[in-house]
Amino acid sequence: MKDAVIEITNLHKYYSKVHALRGLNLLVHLGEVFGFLGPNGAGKTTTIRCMLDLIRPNQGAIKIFGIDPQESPQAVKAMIGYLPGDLNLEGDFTPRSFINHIRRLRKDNRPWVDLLTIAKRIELDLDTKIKNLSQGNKQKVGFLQSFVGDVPLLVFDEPTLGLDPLTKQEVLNIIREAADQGKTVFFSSHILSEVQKIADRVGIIRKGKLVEIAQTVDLINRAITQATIQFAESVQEESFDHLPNVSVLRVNQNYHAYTLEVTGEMDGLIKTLAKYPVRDVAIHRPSLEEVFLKYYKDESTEG
Amino acid sequence: MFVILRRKLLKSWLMVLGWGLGLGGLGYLLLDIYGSIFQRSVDLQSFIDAFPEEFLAFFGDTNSFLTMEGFLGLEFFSYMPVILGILVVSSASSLISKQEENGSLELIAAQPISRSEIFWGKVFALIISVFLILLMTWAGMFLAASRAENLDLSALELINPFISLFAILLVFLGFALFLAMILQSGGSAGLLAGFLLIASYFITSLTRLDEDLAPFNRFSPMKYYQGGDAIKALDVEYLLILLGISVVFFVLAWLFFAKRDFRFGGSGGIRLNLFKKAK
Repeated sequence: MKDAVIEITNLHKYYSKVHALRGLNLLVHLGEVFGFLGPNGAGKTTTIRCMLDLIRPNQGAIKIFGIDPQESPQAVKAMIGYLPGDLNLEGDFTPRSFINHIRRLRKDNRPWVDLLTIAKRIELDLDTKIKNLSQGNKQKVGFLQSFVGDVPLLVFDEPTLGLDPLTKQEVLNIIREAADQGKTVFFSSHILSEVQKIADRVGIIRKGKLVEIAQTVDLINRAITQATIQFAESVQEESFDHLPNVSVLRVNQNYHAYTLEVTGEMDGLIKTLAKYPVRDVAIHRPSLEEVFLKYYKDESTEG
Repeated sequence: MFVILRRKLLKSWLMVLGWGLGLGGLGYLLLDIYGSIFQRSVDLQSFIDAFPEEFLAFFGDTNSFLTMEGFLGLEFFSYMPVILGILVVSSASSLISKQEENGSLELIAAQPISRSEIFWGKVFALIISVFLILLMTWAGMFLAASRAENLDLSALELINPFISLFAILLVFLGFALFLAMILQSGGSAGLLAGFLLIASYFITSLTRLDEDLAPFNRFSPMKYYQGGDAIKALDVEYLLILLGISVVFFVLAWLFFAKRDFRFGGSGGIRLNLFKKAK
């Protein structure tokens, strides 16, 4: 595919007897922010490590900008800025000396200007020894170094882990701006409100398999919406029976109020409501979190 | 590779300086007192003769104790492979695995450098560190030797046992590194390599007492270590055997590292189940 940045086909990975990835398929396009969701142990980090050739899959294929990471790991890694989820930095560096170390490894001789701007925005002190920094500040160092080399693909494994709310917001803004400047962002997170805020598309991984992939908005729209309608007069419950995607959840006869569950399009419901005197309508759209939980509720039912 | 090498060397300079100055000082002291020992050679010979033959045999040829090579062999080069060997084994077994296990290697390995650059950068830095420690030790001894009036010892003669020592240390460095690549943790690699270092030392020492051990001694790297005897003449064949073994271990360790998964958090590798209860 022409604008494919990450192409993963039928990826399998075993750790001893544990089947961590079970035929994962994934396609991430140029310039998009892709949120990779899943609980602990679902295979998110394993997927990322395979992309960087830190671990090797047992089966399947990966292409990053059309290049196989196992065949040309350095070429692939030169295009990726990476923030690991299990970040551990050597304590004797200062953030400045650590960034310089990464710059030397990347042979990046360009001026620091962009990095200094990011450091300032996330309020990172560049001259304190890393061993004396808090976990949140270490995370800032990790985030900052991923921008060394002005790479076209940013891969973040839990980018806001341990950050305070203000810095979290700034980090999300920086990620969004990077995407607006044409970079592709692939990130995993547990904090679904953040994913919802910045991801163009979302993939949900469960037990090493991608169970859903969609535009974030579509995924939310596709899910069940709750609508509470208060009528000016009594309305028969059967009035909604002919709508296939609507079911009545609760009825409060005293207030002529109906709580309905709507799956997908609301068009049929709106047209039906137009026949009656409506006093008030309240619509509750599910968050990505609720959509995500639905997938995992299904899993526990299956299991 | 040079960025990794430079970084590792910068991290190790204090260790190098500490060991180098310590052993250099010890070497200086030993050669400094050799003159007075030589003057009391008759008394000392009768003192040595009072020890049981088996005890003396353990330390090598004690008949030559009062010669320069015998003295340095007994007082310094006989136990240095164990002292420095433990340092080398612990450093080599944790050289890559420590950073792998604590996760700090993940970010470095994600940069556009090859696994070979990471491996050889770190390995060469450790080899250079060992070399510098030995160089400082040699310098301490040579300084004392050049100041002594009745000591007929050239710089080249003094360097020979250090070459042999360097070679035996390379063997155990390579061996510990190889084990760290195939076992599940650097800790188990260090433990096993350290055990085999001590075992090799004892097998070679005890073979002087019991010739029945000679077949085993052939496989003991310590057999090919010359110690103080190298002052007279360096056995090139033994030296090449040691260097050959070390090269094999380095190459095997490198191949394993290049092919296997990184073990972040200690995952992967061969498990040592020796101390685990059967389920």
